[in-house]
Amino acid sequence: MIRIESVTKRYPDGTVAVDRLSLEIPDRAITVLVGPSGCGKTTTLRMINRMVEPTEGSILLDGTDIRQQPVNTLRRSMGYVIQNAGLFQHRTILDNIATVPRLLGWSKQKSRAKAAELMERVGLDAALAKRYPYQLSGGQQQRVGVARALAADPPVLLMDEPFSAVDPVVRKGLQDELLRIQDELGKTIVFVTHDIDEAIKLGTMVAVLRTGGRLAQFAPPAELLSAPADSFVEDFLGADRGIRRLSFFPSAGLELQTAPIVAIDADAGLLASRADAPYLLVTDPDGRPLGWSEPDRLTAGAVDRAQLLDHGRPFVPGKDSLRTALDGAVLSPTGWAVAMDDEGHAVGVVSQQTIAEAIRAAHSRAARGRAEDAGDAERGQAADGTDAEPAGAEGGTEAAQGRAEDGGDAAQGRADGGAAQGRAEDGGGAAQGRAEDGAEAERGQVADGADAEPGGAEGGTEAAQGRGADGGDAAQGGSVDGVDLKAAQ
Amino acid sequence: MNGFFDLPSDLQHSYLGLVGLHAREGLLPVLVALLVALPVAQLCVRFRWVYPPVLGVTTVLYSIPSLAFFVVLIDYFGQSETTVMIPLAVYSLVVLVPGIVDGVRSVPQETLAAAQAMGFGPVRRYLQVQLPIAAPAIIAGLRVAVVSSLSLVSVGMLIGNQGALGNMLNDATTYHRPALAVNSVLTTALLGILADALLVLVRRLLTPWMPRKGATR
Repeated sequence: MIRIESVTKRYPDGTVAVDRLSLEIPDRAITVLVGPSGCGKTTTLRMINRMVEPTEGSILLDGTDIRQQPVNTLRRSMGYVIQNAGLFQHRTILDNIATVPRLLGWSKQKSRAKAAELMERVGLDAALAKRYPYQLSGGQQQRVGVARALAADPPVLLMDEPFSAVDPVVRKGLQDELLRIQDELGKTIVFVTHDIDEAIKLGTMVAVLRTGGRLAQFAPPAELLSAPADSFVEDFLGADRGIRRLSFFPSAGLELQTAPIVAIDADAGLLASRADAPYLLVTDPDGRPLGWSEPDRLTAGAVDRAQLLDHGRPFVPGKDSLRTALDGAVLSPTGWAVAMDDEGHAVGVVSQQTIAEAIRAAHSRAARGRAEDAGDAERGQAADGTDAEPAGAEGGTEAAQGRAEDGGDAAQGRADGGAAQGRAEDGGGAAQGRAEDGAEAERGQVADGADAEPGGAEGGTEAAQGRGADGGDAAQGGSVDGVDLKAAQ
Repeated sequence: MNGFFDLPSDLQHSYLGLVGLHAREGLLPVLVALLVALPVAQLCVRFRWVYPPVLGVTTVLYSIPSLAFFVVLIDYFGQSETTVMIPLAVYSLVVLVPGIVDGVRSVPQETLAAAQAMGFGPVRRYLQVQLPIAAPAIIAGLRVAVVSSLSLVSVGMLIGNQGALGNMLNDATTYHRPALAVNSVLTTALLGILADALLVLVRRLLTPWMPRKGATR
């Protein structure tokens, strides 16, 4: 484990890049340092392999101060990947990857054999071995950079914005590849990025740093999204963190309906029996989804494929998240998402409303989980979550959260309550649910949630959170969060 | 007896002998200059403040005419090859130092950071990363230095026939043999072109990693 203990980096001109930062970086997991420019994330990373020496504080690697061993020995035991790869342009790809093994005194033959093995692992064609860096694309170069960092099989991998200079499609590929490699190798990875989405996608733990090099929050990504520590973290996460948080909820428990699915060769009797559904999903004879149709537009034996409405993007229950399912439902003209198995056969359909219920259930499960954790905290008490009842609404979602946590030596209780009020307005077909939250929570007090009732609105999505945070000696209570989400259908 | 390559006996050399002498007088100073320029340039890269004064001094030296140099140096080294070669070495230095400094500085920051992060010490980093990557810039400097040095050797004629092929120019007027002058000029030019071509070849061999013309990243 890497322990960063109250580390400060102050430059001679007085600039403070990192300010009393303490972090415990877990083994065999990806820890992401994320923050805006000037938050000291790269400086922190570089202090781990001593490319930058801290002014105060110390960094321990498995309990030993990193200054105990020769600097180059330390560096050779940590793989390092940087933006634009930083390849040696005068060496072949194979020799680039073999660099650290050669430095460690391996024979040329052994180093190259290892390099060839790594090329395969990071998905590089063996034919590239004798090429030079200028002959590779940016994405390929970055793969070489990763392979080079892994060559001597170091337990620790430091990655400094490795994927930020490549285009989004390539970046996504590289991120997936990194997660795959990490599954196989289980390195202790410290990853620096300014991209919060990347942080949430890759991180087991995410440390959000603020300008001036102070730690704003250190938490798993799901917790970051559900309970940002303060308004800075919340702003940094962006507007749609509620939606993004759904990525962490599985779609496995969704109740699928199979009745509205008919094959294209269904007979008139079957079609008639399903006529009460608002829409039917038409599949080909093998069960692959083709599109939606209103029941009365279907004639047995003469279904016109061109007339069918697009079925949107299907999700795979158990594999995809609730976010994917909701996305499918939102994209579908009927408001229903299509579930399919790995082979692409439709296994059911699910409405936005059902997804919304699943989201509520997931939220309250998460809130309960945290409340149980909080039982250990001396002064922490659980808060109630709040349910909203979107009466007559299709797809009204509302989340209120309670949370108590135990932080460090000082027991810290945090009670979150959501007091939500719903007001629904009909304006030109667009329904809006609005919740205002004025929850005051004092130290160790339960904050009650109220009910929100966006009546008569179709598609009012609303998330409200109230939080009373208690940190250290000072009791603080009463932050007001109001999130408006407009869902127009 | 008066063929194109027959030289008057006062030159004390055969044609090929003069060519060899010329090459030596022209190339040796460049070699010495290179050996001096490498550490000087490294100092300039390492300590940024060293570079401007070094550049200033070498530029002033460059502005001294070779004849003036000779006059001073004759006091110490007499009318010798050394007297001819010292100014040539100084001039080469002026061309080489900025070339090497720029070359070493052109090594991308992330390449240096990567080298440092992988555990290269300063010496290893210089020899295995900076110098090879600076090679094209160094060779570009060498090409200029070599060609100008080879052409300047001829001035040595003025201090007691130490100008190798340049000595033929003097004989051309003395013996009314313009062919000697033509021969001198052509041979000097040819020598320069050959040396230059050789350096281009060396660069090609040393830098297979350079993008060729037309190649895309």
